[in-house]
Amino acid sequence: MAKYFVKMEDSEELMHLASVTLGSPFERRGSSPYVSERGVLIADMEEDDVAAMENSGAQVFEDIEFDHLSGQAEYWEPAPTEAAPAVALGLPDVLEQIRAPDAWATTRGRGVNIAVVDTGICDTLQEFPVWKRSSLDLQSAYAGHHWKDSKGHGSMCATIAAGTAAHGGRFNGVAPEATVISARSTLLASDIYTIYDELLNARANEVIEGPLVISNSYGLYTCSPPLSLPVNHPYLDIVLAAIDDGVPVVFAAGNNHYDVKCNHNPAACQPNSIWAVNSHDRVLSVGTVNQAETNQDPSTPHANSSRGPGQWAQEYLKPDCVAPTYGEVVWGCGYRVMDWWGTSGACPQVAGLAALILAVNPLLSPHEVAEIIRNTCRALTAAPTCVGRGIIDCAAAVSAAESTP
Amino acid sequence: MILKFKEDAARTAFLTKVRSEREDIYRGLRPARRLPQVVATGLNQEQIDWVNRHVPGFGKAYADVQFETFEPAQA
Repeated sequence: MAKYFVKMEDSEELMHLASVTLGSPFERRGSSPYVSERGVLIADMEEDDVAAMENSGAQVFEDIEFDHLSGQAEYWEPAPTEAAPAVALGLPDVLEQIRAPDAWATTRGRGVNIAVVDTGICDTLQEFPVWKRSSLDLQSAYAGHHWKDSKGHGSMCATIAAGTAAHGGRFNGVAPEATVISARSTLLASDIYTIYDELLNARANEVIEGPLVISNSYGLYTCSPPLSLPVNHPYLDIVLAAIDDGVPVVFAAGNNHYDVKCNHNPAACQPNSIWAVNSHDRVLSVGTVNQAETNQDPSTPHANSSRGPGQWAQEYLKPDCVAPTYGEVVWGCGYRVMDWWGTSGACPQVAGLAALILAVNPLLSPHEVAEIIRNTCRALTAAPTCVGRGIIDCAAAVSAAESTP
Repeated sequence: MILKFKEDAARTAFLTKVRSEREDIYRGLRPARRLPQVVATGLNQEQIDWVNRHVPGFGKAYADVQFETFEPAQA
């Protein structure tokens, strides 16, 4: 078996051919067969697979191993200005892996609001033209300054959830036509409490029109139950009040498992490292996997994705699901290539998916939205405490939402 | 910190007490709109201690918690 690149003019036809030849759809064969947004399949294949591809009209290219260019250039010496830029994997590839573009044939999230509780959003990003920005100015710690991001993290999360490439931005997010509410926060429980309270008040007064989803890519870095956050803390009360009000709430599971914090065995799916509100039955808790759809490989940082079953979970094992994170994405006011985006980058994918679901069926309850997301995941072989119900499938979830009364 | 009360009446009684006895603390209290709770911000340690001493009988005070982003740079 060797690695090949396969091209066809019609990327849909290539997807179909890959499914038929290599297994349906994207079934593992050694490493990950994968069709990029640019319509190139990269896969490990046998000679008979190659023949089948070529007989179907595909162009098949063998992989090439380049030598290290030391000292004297042996093969070519292009002028620096003529060098082609490296094509990095990134958000478009992740979105294809969770089948977001397939869902966009039905909806792109118009009419739904996503509040991103985070470090703010850079106001110069073209991924957020004015029509996408809610005018709501939450009266919390950063009142009047929510569309600034001195750190970069919030801009990443917001883009993943709901950026748009329609007006000069580089990336679409999962719900590219959803409205974004920037909820810049100090990430103190008291400030987050105020943000939630303001959001609920804005809904009650119809300042927010249409459904609302809240994305939360933060939590506690700890390896044991946090004593600072008892189950009767009012921070949980206001999160549950939002859910009672019909708002799906999505949390990152955490980055605690491996060498970021707890140094647990990366191949293991225990012990628990999803804590407090992030582990509550009524919120969606999201882990992350690498491009090959695992978080048990210590060679990629995804092994840090926190493990369930979740400190407070009783009915639904955590994480509920996972999403892949790798490659290029927005960071702050620009772009950055990263090995992973943390579970921070997985959470807003699910928030965006919740927005797509509510766009086609706005009367669904947060519980129904969560059930659709869990039930349409593409199952992975790892234990549920590593990957939950599997990797999210936007197209399947939107289809299920359409058929839910 | 965040203060939690069983009902609105208890919250109102406590806010009335604070307003009459510690106007400086009252200015840092924001009653929640949705729940009978109060968010306290910008208080110094002496003011926090005062609230902790006087809230029992009306409700309960919960310490603030600092969360962190689950960001890739920490890997």
